[in-house]
Amino acid sequence: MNTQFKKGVLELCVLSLLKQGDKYGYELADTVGKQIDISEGTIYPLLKRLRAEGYFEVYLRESTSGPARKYYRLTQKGYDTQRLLENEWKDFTKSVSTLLGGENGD
Amino acid sequence: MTKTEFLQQLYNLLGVLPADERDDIIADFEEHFSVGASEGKSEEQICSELGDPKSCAAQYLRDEPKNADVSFGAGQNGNPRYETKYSDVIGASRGATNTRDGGYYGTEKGDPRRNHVLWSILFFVGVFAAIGAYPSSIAMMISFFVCVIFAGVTGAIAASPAAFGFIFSVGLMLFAAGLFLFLFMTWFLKLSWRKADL
Repeated sequence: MNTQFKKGVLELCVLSLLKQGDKYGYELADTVGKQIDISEGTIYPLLKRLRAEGYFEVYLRESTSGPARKYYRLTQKGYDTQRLLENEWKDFTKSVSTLLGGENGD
Repeated sequence: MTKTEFLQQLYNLLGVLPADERDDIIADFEEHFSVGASEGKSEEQICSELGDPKSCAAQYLRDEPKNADVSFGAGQNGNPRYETKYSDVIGASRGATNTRDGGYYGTEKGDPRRNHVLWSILFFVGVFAAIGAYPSSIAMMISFFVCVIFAGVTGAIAASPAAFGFIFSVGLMLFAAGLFLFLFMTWFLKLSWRKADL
């Protein structure tokens, strides 16, 4: 899959996953990695940046199967941005689909 | 790759970052390995899923506020930028073998900025050496022919073939040495010129 598509859409993916509920780093990397062919290691710098920009909060939660895990939670800004990006994505893919459909002379 | 190798590489590549930031990043990855292990994954499998530490490090460094392209900050109305500077990621992943890129690995051995200075100095030393070396090498090469011609003209060849044979061999060695010196100087000057990036 085109690298540029992947990179552009990772933020939307991560924000959308967190909208479903707080998650820790491994969960996000693993879930995204199962759907999209990326280096899972690049999720972490993305998380760090988005947190620095105010889309997440982080907190530690004790785990039964090892050391405490760092959980990410969407802030209000994160929620708003997720909604915005999702709408932009839908508009974008609709436009592209229209163009592709037009090429086939429908 | 083992977990230790991965983390060590990442740690080294993040040398330019403040210590607490770097430790925080390493902690994230240690957590990742720990959770992966608890799910039964091997270190090697986790490493291959994580990808190249260079790519990870490149992205952390690219996102650093002081390195970030100002025009790529949070866009209008606080929208996050979700275009990326691919050139940085590509450049950094080649950076380990191509010292001409320089940007991210400033504190590592073979820092291109340090090397430029070193090679510039070597180049100028070479130029001075060449002032003496080139004439000497040419003289050595010429002297061989001079000897031969002189010996021929004065009839020394006929008179004493053995002595002439000796002088001929010495002359031949001088010629070879002169030629070698000439070629070496030329190679050295070219190399140091290129490495110094003058």
